[in-house]
Amino acid sequence: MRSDELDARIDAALKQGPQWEPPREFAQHVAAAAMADRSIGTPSGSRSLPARGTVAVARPALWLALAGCGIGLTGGLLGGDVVLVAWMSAGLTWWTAVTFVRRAGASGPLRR
Amino acid sequence: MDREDQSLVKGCLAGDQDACARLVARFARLVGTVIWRATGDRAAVEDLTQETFLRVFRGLPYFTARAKLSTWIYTIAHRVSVDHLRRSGREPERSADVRLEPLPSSPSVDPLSVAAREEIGRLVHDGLAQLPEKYRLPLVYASIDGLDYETIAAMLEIPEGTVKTLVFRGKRMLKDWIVVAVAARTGAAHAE
Repeated sequence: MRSDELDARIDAALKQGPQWEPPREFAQHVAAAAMADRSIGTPSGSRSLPARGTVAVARPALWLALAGCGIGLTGGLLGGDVVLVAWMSAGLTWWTAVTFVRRAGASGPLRR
Repeated sequence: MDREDQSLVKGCLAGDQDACARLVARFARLVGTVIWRATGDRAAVEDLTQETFLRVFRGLPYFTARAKLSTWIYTIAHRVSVDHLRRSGREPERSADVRLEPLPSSPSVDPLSVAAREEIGRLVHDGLAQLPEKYRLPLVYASIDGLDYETIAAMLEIPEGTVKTLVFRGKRMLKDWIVVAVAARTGAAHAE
């Protein structure tokens, strides 16, 4: 037998591997089991909302960001010193980022 | 994702049991075949196929519509198979240290001719069991009708070119194993 003939026989044998046929009522049985699983049917719209765990981790950072926005908006009260406002905003942004990262790291993987 | 898949996913997410049953019926045959070929465990196929679909339904709310539903489901089937192999003590890389020892072949015997007389199917089955999973899984998946290289690449999370290389090498290793196994058998027969 030539080598390429053996190749062809091997290919044919591989193709003739087992094919599974689901038993009758298999699909209905699995669907019923899935319906009993409370995670199915979760409205897809709720996926756009952040999980509570994420909000809890980010809350301090969100407050800081809000405070930064407030300072930025009241920049006129600081004598209109653009450089001072820019530095304060940069500092708050940095603090926000550090806080978020540290909280996220301490909390481990975010809950779904 | 095509329109029918979209409709099935929408129905399942809305809690429509009939839509879930139709989704299972649409993919069950190929999912079961993937699991059977990957694990070789006929007795476990039904349970593992059910487990695959339960994982599919749990993950459906997070499934992105840009992906192909069938590919996503087959990827889950592959993961379920790998988990089963691990649980049953067959680590995916368990055969990585297998070496195909070259045996002296008898010059008077053509092992390929002997292989022709033997049942090739049995030799292929035995040879596949000796291959490292790294080569075996791409090779068996590539032999399933309905799975193309692009889908297999997504299932294994490797580039398509790598799949082709693994299939090519796996096939060559399988062929070498068959030739060596037949040569060893015929050599032993001649020695008796």
